[in-house]
This record gives sequence, C-alpha cells and structure tokens, in this order.
Amino acid sequence: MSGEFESLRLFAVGGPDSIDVSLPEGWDELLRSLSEQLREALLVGEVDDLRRLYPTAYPDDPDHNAGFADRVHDQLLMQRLDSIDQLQASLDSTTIGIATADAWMSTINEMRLVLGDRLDVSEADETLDDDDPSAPAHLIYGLLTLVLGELTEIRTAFL
Amino acid sequence: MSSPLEVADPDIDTGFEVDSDTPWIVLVWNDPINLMSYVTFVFQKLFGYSREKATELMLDVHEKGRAVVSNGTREKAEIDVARLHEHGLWATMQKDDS
Repeated sequence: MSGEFESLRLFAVGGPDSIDVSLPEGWDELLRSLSEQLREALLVGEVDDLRRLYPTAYPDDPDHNAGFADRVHDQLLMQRLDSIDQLQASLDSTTIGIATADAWMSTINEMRLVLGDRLDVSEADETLDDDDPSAPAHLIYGLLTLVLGELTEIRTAFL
Repeated sequence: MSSPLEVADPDIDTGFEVDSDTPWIVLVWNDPINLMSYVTFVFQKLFGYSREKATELMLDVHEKGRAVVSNGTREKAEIDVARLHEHGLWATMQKDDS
C-alpha cells in the first residue's frame, strides 16, 4: 500500500473563534503526563536538554547573546509554563478557543523539540528495529507530530 | 471563515535601547524537527505574511538551509528573534551587510 494516510480528524473548525477537539481515548492523559514532564524539565532540567527551546540569537557575539538571554529567558519560561497550564486545563474539553489552541501548539511543539533533540531525529525516514530501546520514545514523538500537524492545519484557517 | 491577519505586535520586552544604526536581519534556520506546515503558520502569524509568501520563505529555509524573515533596528530584530524562539524556531540575527 502506498500513499498518505488520511487525517484522523482530531480537530475541526467549531465556530468563528473555536476549534472542536476529538482525541482518541487515553491521548488526553498522555498529553497531560508529557506536559507535566515538560514543566519539570523547564524548571529543573539540564541546560543541554533545553537547548532547542533557548537557541542562540547572536551566533558570533557571545556577549550580546548573553545579554539577550538574560532579557528574554524568564519571559519565555513564564509563557511556556502558562501554555502548559492552559493545555492541561482544557484537555477534557471538546471545544477550545483560538488562544488555547495556540497554547496547545506551543506546548506540543516544545515537547517535540525536547524529545526530538534527545532522540537526534533527522529529516530522513528511519525504520527502527522492534527491539530498539528508543522505539517507545519515537512512537510518542510520532504521536505528538500527528497532533501538532492536524492542529496546525485547522488553526491556520483562522489566520 | 475569515478574520484579519494577525500582525506582529511585540509581546516580549527585551529591554533593549533603540539602536538606529546599521539595520539588522533576522534569519530562520532549517532543523529536522519543526514541521513545514508549522513553520509556515508561524511566519503568517508573527509577520502577517500571506500564505504564499510564508510558504516561499519556509521552502527557502527547508531547501537552502535558512531564510531572512524580517529586518530592522537591533531592537526590532531582537523582538522578532525572541518571538520566533517563543514558537520553537531556530532564529538568529546579524547586521545586514548587503
């Protein structure tokens, strides 16, 4: 069999400023657990684990980059924690507003960035052996990718 | 379904004083994690680009490794970089030597 799989229709335009949500059973708890792990990583994680969330702004100027990081780090952290709160507060909802959808997208993408960096994912399709110990993590990464992709498609309709 | 394009209003205060000299450019770099559709969406959301322009920039990032997505004063560039980082994109800034 070849060709693209059809969308799972996890999300749909609900109204002028709302998105309907239809996650398979158990996915809400998985997202809740993963987002809580992200929260912990943001608060007490190692710097290297979060390097994709705090990239370099001035690659050729360490002094200005340090100043930039000092100025924006705490604001980015607070925004990310707020997005996690919004996601967790709305996981049981069947309809979310646009601002909440943006919080879902931010949080899910941040989970992908941290996990993807840890797995050293590449753009090439890779086939894992069944007994590869990273297979479960890759599965989760794939699930997050699916959710973000479908939400992005629907959210774009509101631009 | 339609609504006004969201145009970027800075929501991150970098606390940087205005630098009115050499203009700066903001680049977004390719990475294997961010989805092409998501990158396109971010360009539309943050900069008010049309779907076509945002897609063009995304393809430049994907195929050429990077693309210039905005320009301006150092302060504006820092705000744009911070907003791109907020959305998980790998963005840097440098003086425009062109």
